[in-house]
Amino acid sequence: MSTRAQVASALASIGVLTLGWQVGTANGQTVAATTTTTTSGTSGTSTTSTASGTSTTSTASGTSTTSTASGTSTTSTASGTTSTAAKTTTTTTATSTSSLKDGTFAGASSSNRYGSVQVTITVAGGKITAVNATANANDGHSAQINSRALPTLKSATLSAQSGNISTVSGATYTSVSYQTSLQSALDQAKA
Amino acid sequence: MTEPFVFEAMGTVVSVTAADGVRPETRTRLTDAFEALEDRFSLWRPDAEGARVARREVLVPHASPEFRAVFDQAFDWREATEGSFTPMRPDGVIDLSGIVKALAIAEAADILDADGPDWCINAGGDVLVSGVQVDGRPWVVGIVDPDDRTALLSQFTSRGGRHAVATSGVAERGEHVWRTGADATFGQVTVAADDIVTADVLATAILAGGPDALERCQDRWSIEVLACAVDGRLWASPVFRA
Repeated sequence: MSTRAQVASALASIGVLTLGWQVGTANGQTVAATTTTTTSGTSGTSTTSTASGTSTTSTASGTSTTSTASGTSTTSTASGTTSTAAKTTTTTTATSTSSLKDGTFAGASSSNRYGSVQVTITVAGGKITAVNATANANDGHSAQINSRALPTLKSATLSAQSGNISTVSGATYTSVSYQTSLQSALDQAKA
Repeated sequence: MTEPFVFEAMGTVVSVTAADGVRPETRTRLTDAFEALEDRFSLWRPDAEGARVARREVLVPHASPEFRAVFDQAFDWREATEGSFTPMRPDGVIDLSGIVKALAIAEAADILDADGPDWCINAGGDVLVSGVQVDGRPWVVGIVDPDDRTALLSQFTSRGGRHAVATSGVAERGEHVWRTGADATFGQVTVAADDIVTADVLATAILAGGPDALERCQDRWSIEVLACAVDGRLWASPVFRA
């Protein structure tokens, strides 16, 4: 996978996992020296990360996330929170600079009718390198909870072996866009 | 490899593969089935019942039994998905095309079954497979990468019997089924289920309703999901995890 895609995946994963994240600091304090984000009047976490070429922001109640890239600054806020944008941003060239500390961190659990799911991330070199979703099943429901769709990285999904594909599922193509689709290529190859 | 039978229907392209090819008689039955459903439910053909209902020339209680059956089915799904799937557009127009395509695929399945148990039908990116390929290998359904439509994100391998794989994506937004309370987290959702209507409806429902709908639909139906968020995050059921 390209660096850009890896960075995007890492940032994206930060987004989903910031719900209730504690990344090793007290609420509202900075994670790294190069960026500053403050929130006032709320409880929650603040995460700042930078990357070249991409910018991802996502928010949920109680959290504030700011990402900046290539000289642009994007800030989004959720209801009930205020935050000020980072005063400084450091972007490196080919690789991302993340304010996440290396280590393994646990996020807040989410629960469904079968139990709860605990998501843990591993950070190395400032990037998320692993996502682990652990299901804690209520009595007798371990099979169900493990069959749920869990957050993951693109690199951790089952990749396709293109030589084996019989047919392709994707968003509906029109008769026109079919002509440039993978399915069209498959249909012609088999003809 | 067997030559696939490819034809246009419902504004998209249908590709059918079967063990020894698709017989001429079967081809006619397939195209007739799609044509008949489109003829009734189209919003664009002026004389179609769907268009006349949309123009309020005909009120639903006075529509044909066939129309009302599909209408009821669509609204049952609306209730079952707590509104994440709805055939009611914000402007009040009833649009059943989302469910009609799935019904056409289901009807095609019965037609193909008459010739044999091993076939694959793909209507505009919604797939239903049965049995195995001609060389005995399972059907493998690739999932398009929403960020690059010439690349594949993942794949689903059928386990014998019938399996449906349906994908809803932002390219479809505004086309078929309109959404209420839209959550814009997901840009593409793929659902694998035992039947095509369930897979198709729930892919649309989860696309519209976001992570909350994903949880509710998994609570209620036995499905496998690959949901792509617009910012690159992925929620993946075990079958889609490496």
